[in-house]
Amino acid sequence: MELEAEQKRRMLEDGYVVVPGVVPRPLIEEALREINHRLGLGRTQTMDAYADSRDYWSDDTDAPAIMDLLQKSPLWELAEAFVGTGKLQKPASGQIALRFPSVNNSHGGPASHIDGFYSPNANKTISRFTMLVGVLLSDLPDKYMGNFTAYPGTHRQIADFIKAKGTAPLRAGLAGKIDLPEGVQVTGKAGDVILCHYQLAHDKEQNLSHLIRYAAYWRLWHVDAEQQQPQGLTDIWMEWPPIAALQKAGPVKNAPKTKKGK
Amino acid sequence: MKAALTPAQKKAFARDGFVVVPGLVPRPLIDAALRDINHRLGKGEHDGKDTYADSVDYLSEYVRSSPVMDLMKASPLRELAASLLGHNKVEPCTQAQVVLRFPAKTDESPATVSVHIDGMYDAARKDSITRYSFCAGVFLSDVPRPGMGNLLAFPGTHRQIAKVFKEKGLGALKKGIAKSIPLPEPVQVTGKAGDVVLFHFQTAHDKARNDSPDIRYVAYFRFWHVDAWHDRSSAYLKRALTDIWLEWPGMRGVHGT
Repeated sequence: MELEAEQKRRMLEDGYVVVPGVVPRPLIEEALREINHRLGLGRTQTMDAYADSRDYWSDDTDAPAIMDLLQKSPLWELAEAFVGTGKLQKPASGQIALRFPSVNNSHGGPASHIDGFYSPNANKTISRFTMLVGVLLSDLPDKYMGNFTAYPGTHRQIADFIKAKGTAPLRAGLAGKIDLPEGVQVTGKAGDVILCHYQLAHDKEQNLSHLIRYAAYWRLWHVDAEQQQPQGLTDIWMEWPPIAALQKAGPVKNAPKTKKGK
Repeated sequence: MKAALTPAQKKAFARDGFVVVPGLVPRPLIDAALRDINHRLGKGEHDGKDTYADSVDYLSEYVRSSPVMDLMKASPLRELAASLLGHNKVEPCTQAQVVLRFPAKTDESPATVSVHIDGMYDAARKDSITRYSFCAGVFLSDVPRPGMGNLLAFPGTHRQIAKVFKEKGLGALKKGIAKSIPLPEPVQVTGKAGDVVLFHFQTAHDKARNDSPDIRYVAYFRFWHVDAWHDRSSAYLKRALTDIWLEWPGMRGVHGT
């Protein structure tokens, strides 16, 4: 799959790109059937330890209906286009992430993070992967519907911070260390996908709608990511040849902006 | 706007024992109720969970929250009930049964569950029937086709069951409805969010499996005529189970009542 120039540009500058209509409706429906069936079963043993019982439900699964969203749609090829064909490890599972309507402001406040740092075991090794990909499984036409919230450009800010001060100060969170830009609440339709650089700060926004927000995520590892863990935190495009080439070519004057957050 | 069934709706209700009233509950009330229900689903706490509900693909709980009760109190539904049972003749309804039907995995879940009228659960246990006057189910999600966890109604069984009670007494259904009367072909009730299905207490019904990808949401309100609420004698029970339009001044003069 050939990436559009603007998709590469947005990944370089913003650290993420939203691509509409990647996953076909039949795959979305099979995934929803699986997820909604699980909801009927109640809480499961595979639920993410970070998931609270207020308005967030996260479940790691290798169920075919979930894995097919990535593996039987053009999403896999799209992800590979950013790092090279055959350069991504096949994930063993995906994350079902539901965000329920909140009442009485049960959000708990902002919690912008990058995934590998967000751990109660702050002394453990940082688990850096390459790319976070997500599929919207329900329509999100507006903000405050439990949207994935991206902080554009923070992948570069965080790399600069680590270069200057190391990773230790970030273990307690990004607040106060990184000058966060305005968050972009990603809107879109079921079937749209978001691809993010590992190091992009992100969050989940409160859901003030009446509907459950459905999404599925995968954390994708470059085949060499284990061997080059720390280098990838500062040389952030080492596993992304098309973006590295674009960076090398230098900035484009008056580059057209895509509709951020779609 | 005065809430009342049209003559055609009354005719269908008298004949079939159920009728769908389109667009009775406004969208803002539906959205507020869904927000309340989906929030509770996220919490995973269901204090009012119905003991009959299994945990596989069915969640039923009795709810008194304002957003759910407003489906009846702040919509024309309460007035519609009064138009049928008589003004000042409807016992105040204090709770709703919120019923979610989750997508089934076809090899785990039967296509239908059990044909029944509600009070029959007590018939096996206590040798009596707990009856009310009618049930109103508010669609909270679109159910445009069969196989989406639809209410399954057996048309005309309200009349058949009255006849059996009349001929064989109130214990006539103890072996179950399916073994006691010849059941007609059931109807999988369809509708849109905001539509309301009314069914007479004595109409046999069931729930169909949900083969769709989506959760089916309904809130049921059970209405009692004040006489039924206050007079729990076996004499009144027998009278009401055999004279099925006894409590329905709003249905008088309709063919079949």
